[in-house]
Amino acid sequence: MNWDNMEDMKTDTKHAMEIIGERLYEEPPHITLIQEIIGNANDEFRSHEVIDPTILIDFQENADGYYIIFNNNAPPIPKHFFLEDYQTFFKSSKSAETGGIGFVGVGAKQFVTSKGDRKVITITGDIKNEILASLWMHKEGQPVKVAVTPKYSIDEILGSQKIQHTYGTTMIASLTKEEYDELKEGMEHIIHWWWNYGLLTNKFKIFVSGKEIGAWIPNPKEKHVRDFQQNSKKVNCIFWISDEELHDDLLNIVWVVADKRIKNKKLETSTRVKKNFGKRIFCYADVTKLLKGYVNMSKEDFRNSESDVRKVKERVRDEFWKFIVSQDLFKESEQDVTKNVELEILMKKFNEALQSEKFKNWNPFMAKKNRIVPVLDSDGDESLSESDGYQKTEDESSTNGNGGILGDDDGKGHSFDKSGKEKGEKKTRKSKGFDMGEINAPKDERESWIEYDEKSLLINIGHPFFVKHNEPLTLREFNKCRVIVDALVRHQIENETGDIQMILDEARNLLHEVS
Amino acid sequence: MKIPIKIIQVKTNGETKNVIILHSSDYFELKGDSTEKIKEFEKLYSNIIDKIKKIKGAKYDKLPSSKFYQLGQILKEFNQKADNGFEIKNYNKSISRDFELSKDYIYDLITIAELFKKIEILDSVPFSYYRALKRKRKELENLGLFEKEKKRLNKMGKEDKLPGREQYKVELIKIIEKSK
Repeated sequence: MNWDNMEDMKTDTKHAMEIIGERLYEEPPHITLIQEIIGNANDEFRSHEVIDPTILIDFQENADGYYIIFNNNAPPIPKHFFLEDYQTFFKSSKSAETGGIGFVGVGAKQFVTSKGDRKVITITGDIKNEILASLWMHKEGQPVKVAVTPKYSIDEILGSQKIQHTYGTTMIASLTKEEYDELKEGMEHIIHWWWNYGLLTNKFKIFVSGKEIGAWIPNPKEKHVRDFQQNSKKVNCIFWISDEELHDDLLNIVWVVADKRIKNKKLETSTRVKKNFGKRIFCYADVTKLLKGYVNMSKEDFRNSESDVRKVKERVRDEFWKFIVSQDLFKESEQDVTKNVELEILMKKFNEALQSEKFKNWNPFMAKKNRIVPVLDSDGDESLSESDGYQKTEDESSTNGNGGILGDDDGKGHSFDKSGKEKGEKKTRKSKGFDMGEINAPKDERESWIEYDEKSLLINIGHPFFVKHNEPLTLREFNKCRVIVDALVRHQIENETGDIQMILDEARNLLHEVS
Repeated sequence: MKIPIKIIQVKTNGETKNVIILHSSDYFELKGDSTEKIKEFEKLYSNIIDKIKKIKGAKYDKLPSSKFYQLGQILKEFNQKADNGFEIKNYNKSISRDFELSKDYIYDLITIAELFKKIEILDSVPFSYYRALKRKRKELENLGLFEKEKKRLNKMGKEDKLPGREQYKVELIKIIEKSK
């Protein structure tokens, strides 16, 4: 094709400004070209529900130069669109507006202008009906020139290029020798980088130089699929635990939209995940249904300032930590080890509160009134054999197997004298409260509960919500208070100790008292 | 001040876990550093249970005396460590439950581990004979006969001349009576 006979490509100023304004792509143009071509083909596969969607990629080297050739079997680009918008520089439309466009897009056009002596040939159509073709050429410092059928014949457009096109859309792009070598050598890696999720979920097939590229699977035994809903829309998460440490670019959450990697987010795992699992675990989070409209024009990141984006990302991060906890891989940080909310301090706060007049009915193991217990007192005026006081009993002796009797307040045991000779008196004793412990039970949905048989209250420090709000210390302490109150509230409700409104009011006051 | 604790069993999500809880007696006197110590104790206790299960296998009744002695050593060591910082309020209940041995048996195991050297426990002598001997220990010691009886018992075991266990208990009574 003679350069001088070709026409200047028309320019869509709006898109040109967007591209310049956003400095669109981070990746070099020949890499961008790959992701744009596969991405746009996949859009067409999806919108037309193509059976056996397939992309073929080949390389061709001849006296004219170095070429990469793509073909997809999505419906061809509609004629009216191909002749107009497709030939307009920086114009990009989506299939919803245009019908199938195969591959087009800003990326491919930007590729043409990225270097001198670039050439892109597009062929679309069905060999049984009509074949359309166009050629874009660029020379350094010159506007892009265009030649389109039927004004130019297909032979003129193709020149020395030998192409077999029968259906769908074919694109031939010229490359520099370096680009050609890089793509030929690294195509499998590039496809896995951007499109592994699509391959894993069988959205399409890709053949490179006749060889099918399968999905990259880090460890077939350690694939965990976990879904969740946000705003009634499903997010699919596939977690993998690799046998080996992974490159930083795969850690730890890889955001996916329309089967394509958008960006990854490496989390701070060194202090929170056991051993080296923080470098071996990653998650493909398919957020298409929630964030498709929030992807930048480059498709390399989201518009992160949007609150919807932040909310979804935060939710996926929560799911990641839940997964870590569910696999028993969560470890407490150094800070957690050295600083803790001490149980005895919580017990003190609660028992002081529960022994006050205001909350006297909130101790689950204490009768509503004070207990009368008999104690020895030679000046007492009551025969202890007649006492019907309360005898505290412990399970057993408590001296680690060495025998001994458990006492009570002030080192005195309760007294009872069968003979009735001993004198004593009855003293009012307040309960010392309930026993308290922590349990690490990530799979238990309860944040806290009362073990009635053991007269104790347990805090579930493995609960995902507790883990999520583990720092700072003040928040952790508040959470412990909250879940203790929660267990007490449930006890109050189950025992119908008052109307719900009153219980909730008192619970709030108790929380204020101890927090 | 020892930390007052209880070792309880809790069912969570279909499995049973041992949990160490802070007992509500005397906690006011604690220094405010018990939580981490309790966690460490929980690990220690869990390790002891694992060790004992490993030695015990399916059942205790087929266990040779040397294994019983090993159990006694483990329990003795555990008691020393536990006694250092904790007061286990439900010691007997929890130990019996988790080690599947009666309170008396555990006491005997620990005492035998204290009274006998490892080489003095032979697999050719069933452990119940050592228990019988241990129960007469004070009386035999008072007569200066305990060490001698240890040797006689092991000799009978080595030569396969052990009387029945009940017969051995009678022999011990006779030895004590005769030497008074």
